[in-house]
Amino acid sequence: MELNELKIKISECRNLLFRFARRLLGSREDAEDLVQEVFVKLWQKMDKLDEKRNFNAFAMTVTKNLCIDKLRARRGKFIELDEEITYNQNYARDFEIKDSVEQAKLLIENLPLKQKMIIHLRDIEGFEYEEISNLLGYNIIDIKVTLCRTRKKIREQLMELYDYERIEN
Amino acid sequence: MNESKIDELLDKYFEGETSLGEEKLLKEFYSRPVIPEQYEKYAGHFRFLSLESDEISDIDFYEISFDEINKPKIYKTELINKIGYTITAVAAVAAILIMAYIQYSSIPNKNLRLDYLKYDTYKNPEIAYKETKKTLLYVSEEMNKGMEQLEKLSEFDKSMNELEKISDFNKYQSKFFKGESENEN
Repeated sequence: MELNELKIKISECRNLLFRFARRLLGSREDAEDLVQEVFVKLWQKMDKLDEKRNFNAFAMTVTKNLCIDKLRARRGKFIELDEEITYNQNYARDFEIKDSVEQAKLLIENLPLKQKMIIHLRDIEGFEYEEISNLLGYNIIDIKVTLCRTRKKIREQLMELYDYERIEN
Repeated sequence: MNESKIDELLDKYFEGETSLGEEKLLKEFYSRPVIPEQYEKYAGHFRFLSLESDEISDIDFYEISFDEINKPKIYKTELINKIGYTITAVAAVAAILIMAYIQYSSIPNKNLRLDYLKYDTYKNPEIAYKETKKTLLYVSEEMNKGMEQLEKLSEFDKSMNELEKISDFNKYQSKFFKGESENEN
């Protein structure tokens, strides 16, 4: 692949990668730095890039792996993709955030990594299950089950928040 | 879209059974300025999803990251690193070998090398015998000197004998006390 070709392809998917990185890392600045790192990595691996393989999937894999490296470095240890750190906690309620959009953001932010990646690609990016499977490398059933579980969890927490606020008022 | 349809879609959505088209309908429903109160609790969620998908990076990636990419530095440093490690390894091995050689060849007069054992130091056996005898005598003399020092230890033995008298004293003492206690009875 030529450099110019790579430039075009990267420009096409840069917002997708940026939003994905921002979802995982949390901040805009970190996500922007990371996407630049992804570009450099892709350029270095350009000769290994298979023409037939989906470019977006390759770029997404690099982004995902770099994000996980960053998160690991931040926490100083290995991160499990399924890690259920915050299952029974309702952060939005604990921090008394009143704005409903902010509450929803916080609920998604506190999901385990795998659930966060899948709900991001489905509900925010609007990908089909098959596309998500290509991008993340999980099988379709796994994705469907994870998504279902994630949405149920979000619904429970939203209802809990709603009831809590009604009692308060 | 009527309300029963929304209820149905919401249930399907949270069960993970909606299609992308149906999810789009829900997002559109929640983008309305006024929403019936019973649907209010999920409004934040769907509004957040719509807002997030419009998020765009405002950095000009084309300028910044390709400047960085165009620097051949990354390739070079990687190459230098790889070559550098090999050179360091070879240099370390070479240094060890050279040090070993210098150490070995710098032994004075080669006296300490093992090959001197192969040759005689004296050609005449009589002289060799005398020299050996002289050496052995010297060794025994030196050894006797050392032994003289050890004789001082016998003084210590003597003192120990004197100390044994104390044990006699103990004996008499215990006898004495025994006699006394018998008298009392």
